[in-house]
Formats: sequence, C-alpha cells, structure tokens
Amino acid sequence: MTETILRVNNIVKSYGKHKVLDGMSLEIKRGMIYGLIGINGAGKSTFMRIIMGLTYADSGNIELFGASDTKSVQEARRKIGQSIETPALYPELTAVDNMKVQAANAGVGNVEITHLLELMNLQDTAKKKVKNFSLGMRQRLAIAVTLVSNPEFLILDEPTNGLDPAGIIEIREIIKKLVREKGLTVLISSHILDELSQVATEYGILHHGQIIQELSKEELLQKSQQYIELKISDVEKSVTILDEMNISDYEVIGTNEIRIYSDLDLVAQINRQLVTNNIEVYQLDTKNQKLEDYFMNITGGK
Amino acid sequence: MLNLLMADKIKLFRSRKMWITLAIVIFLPIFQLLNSISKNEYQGKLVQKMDIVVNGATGVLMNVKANLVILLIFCAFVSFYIGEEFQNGTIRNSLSLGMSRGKYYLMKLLVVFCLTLISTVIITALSTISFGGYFGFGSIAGINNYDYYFWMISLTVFLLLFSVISVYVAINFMVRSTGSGIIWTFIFTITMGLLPGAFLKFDSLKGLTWWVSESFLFYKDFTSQSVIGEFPKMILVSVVTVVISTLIGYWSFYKSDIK
Repeated sequence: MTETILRVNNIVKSYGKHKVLDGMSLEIKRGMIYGLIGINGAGKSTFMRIIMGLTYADSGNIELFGASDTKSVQEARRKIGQSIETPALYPELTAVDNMKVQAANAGVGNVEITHLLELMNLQDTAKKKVKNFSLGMRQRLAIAVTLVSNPEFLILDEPTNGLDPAGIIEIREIIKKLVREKGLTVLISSHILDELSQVATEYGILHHGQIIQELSKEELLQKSQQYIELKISDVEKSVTILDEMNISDYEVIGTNEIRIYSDLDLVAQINRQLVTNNIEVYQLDTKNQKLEDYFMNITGGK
Repeated sequence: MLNLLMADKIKLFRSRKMWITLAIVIFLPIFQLLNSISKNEYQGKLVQKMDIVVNGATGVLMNVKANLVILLIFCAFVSFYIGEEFQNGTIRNSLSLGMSRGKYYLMKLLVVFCLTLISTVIITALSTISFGGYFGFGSIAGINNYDYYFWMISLTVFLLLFSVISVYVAINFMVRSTGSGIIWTFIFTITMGLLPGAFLKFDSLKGLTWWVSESFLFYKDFTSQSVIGEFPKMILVSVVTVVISTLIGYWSFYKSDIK
C-alpha cells in the first residue's frame, strides 16, 4: 500500500468571525503531485501554513509521515520543503549564500548547492545579489532553497504567481523533473485549474474552507472532454430525438442549448435528424470544455 | 539551535547591518575623544561630574556617557535584524524545518546579547586607550579599588544596556516589521527615559522609578562612589527586565501567525 505522507481531518481555522477552513480533510500519498485549487481567499495558503506549523488550527488533526502528536509532527516537518506565497529569500545575499543559510538551518552540508543551482538554471548568477534577480529567478531560487535540506515532501504555494508564460513553463518542467528524478511528493496550489492540470496528478478543489471535490488526472481529463454544442429552436423535441438515437450523455444548458459528450462522430446524423424533424439548428460545433468553466460551475463562481 | 546560529553567522557576516553597527560603535569613542579634546582646548578643562569620561580610568564610563546613542544604534540594528526575517518571509524557512519558536527566539536574543557585549567591550577598550593616550590614565575620585570598580561597572552597565535591548527584541517579535520595529523601539526608549521623571512627581509611583533600567542609565551618577552600593539592584532590575521582556516577546511570537 502506498504510504500516506499527509492526512488531515476536519481542520478548522477562523480569523475572528470568518471561518477560513471549515472542516477541511484530505490525504496525500507518496509520489502524488496534489494540486490544491481554489479562488483567492479560499484558504489555500492558510492550510499550507498550518501544515508547516506557521499558524495553528483551531481544531482538527494532522498526520504527517505517520506522526500525529504535536512533537512528532514538528519533527516530521524536517522532511518538508516549502515555498509559501512570496519567495522567502535574503535580498542582500547571493543565490549561493541563500542556499548556504538554508543548508546551515537544516544542518546539512553545502555539497548539493552547485547541483541544485544547475538544476534551477541559476549557476551563472555568481555574485549577483538576489534583490537584482527577476521574479522568475527568485521563484526558481526559492525552490532550490527548499531542496537543499533534501525534503521528501514539497509544498509550493502558487509558485507561478506573477510569472510570464515562459517562466510558468519553466517552473512546471522543474516540478515534473523533481518528481521524476528525486521521487518527491508535491502539494501545489493555484487559483488557475488549467495551469495545475498540466502538472498535478490529483486535484482537490477548495471552496468555502472545504474540499468540495477530489479528482484524479484521468477524471479531470474527462471533464475537459470534447463535446458537441448544439443551439436549436426546440430543446424538448431535440432531447426526444437524441433519446431515439440512443444518445444519453448530454446536458441541457438554458433554453436553446444542448451539450452532447458522446457519439462525437454522429454530428452529421444528429444534424440531419433535427432538420428532418423541423428543428432549426442555429449552431452545431465540436468544442472542448474549458477547465476553468468546469471549476467555476462547481464552485458556483462568477 | 547551533544550526540556527551557523545560519545567522552567514547572514550577519554577508550583510551590512552588523558591519555598520560595529563601524558606528568603533567611531563613537573616537568622536567622543575629538569632542572632548575640542572642549578641553576651547571651553576649559574637562570636569568628571559633567563630562563623565575625562581620562583613561574613566574610559569604562563611556557606555554610560553614550548610552542613548548606543541604544538608538541597537534600535535600528535589532529592528532590521529581526524585522527583515518577517518581512522577507525567511523566518518560514527556519520554522518550517521543525525548529521551535522558543529556540528561534532565544537564538535571536543570544546573537543580540553577543553583539551588545562585543559593542560594550569595543567602546570600553577604545575609550580607555584613546582617552588614556591623550589625557593620561589618571584615576577616579573616591574610587580606591579600581579593578573591582572597573569590572563591576562594566558588567552592570552592560546588563542595563542589554536589558533595554532585550525589550527591543521583544517589541520586534511583537510588531514583526522593520519599520514598525524602529518606530516602537524608539518610542519605548524615549518614553522610558522620560517616564521615571514623571513617576518622581507622584509619591505612590516614586518606587517604580528605580525599577526601570533606563532610569539608572540616564539619571544615576556613575562617577560617585555611592553608586557601587547600588550595583546589585541594577543587576537585579536588568535580569528581571530581560526575563519579563523575553516571556512577553516569546508569548506574543508563539501566539502569532507567520505570514
């Protein structure tokens, strides 16, 4: 059985009267890249800070690497690397010195520093101080700094925030490479599902302080499947025709739209049947459901 | 905790704040010497009661004479040293490795303790050498056992200064930002300097005056022989201040959310 790295049950955290996390529960197993998705303010960063011991939950249980009492969980945190919100770096120091500081914090040697800087494509920064780095460089260095302590579990909070498309791709590839080469387990958050879908293997949708849905990569792909978008004059009659054609995987959207998720090769027959039955077809198109639409649908977002 | 100290050594040696602090600390006795020479030349002979440091023997009192400057230097240093960890978010890197907040707090306090000690040693040594070199070593009126006086006053004044600086550490763990740290430590310094004067105006509060470290630093005449008898109380007040401020600072830090 795959080892459970992190299991949380019924985590509650409030700030004043505002409940940020309201009985949140999830489980992350070794080797997963768990994508935590939620709109801004959903509680992603708060949850991650609770896992890291940077803030306290009002109630609920945390089990980390099998440890569940406060002292053991604190010990287990040594196996975690984190980059939460903004990259936590010393602007007056160079990349190497930032790495050395974290190596000293973790009580490990400096042997990995050169390799990690190469891995993050930062080997040529020499004496350049971090305050002069671009945001992308800082994000990469922040990840390198977390890796210096040889973590088994990496927590990354919106690591692509503020990056340009090239930077986003670079970070994504780095994460995949780390999982492939170092066998890390990763918890990564974002408010953009499309972006997470290209890196995560499991997904949890956080809304109003709770995980409202968990999906595997395969399930998510199904959600982003192709469909036939039909805009017609008579929905009721069209539904009858679809049933007669043994097409059952469809969804009625509003008063004049139907989405058909199966039998995509029957576009011509569907069109013919509808027209034959005096239904006006305004639009007939094959489309992909956007993940963002799916996310907004289930969170009821605007 | 040793790991944290090693990490802080790298940070401090590579950044400018410690070097700037030490540079000012080195410059301070030199500036005071030049000022005293000028005063001696153009405004009449130095008087120990007024000028406090007048020769090599009184060099040990430079930490008393320049106490406000030293405290203001440490206002800035402590605010940058601790505030930046919160502002840069780098405190997360240490705490997320399973380091307890208690150890983290004590490590910062220990570093500040060491730097305060180094600073007071530098100021005492440079003042004794420079004033001794120019004005002669001389003596302190009424002090017969100079060695005892030297060590006791060095220890006591250091503890008084450190007790105030330990409050700066606590304040910075409470406000958790450089800017606010500088403002609040400055307000604390000024308030605690003025408040005892106000206490003296009320019979019921008079007793509190000498439970404030800064009262001794700002208002006590360290050149008089009678001050020796008050060293134990000064040490007690300093230790009590360090303990109370550390407990309050740590409690506030322990309860806080780290952003």
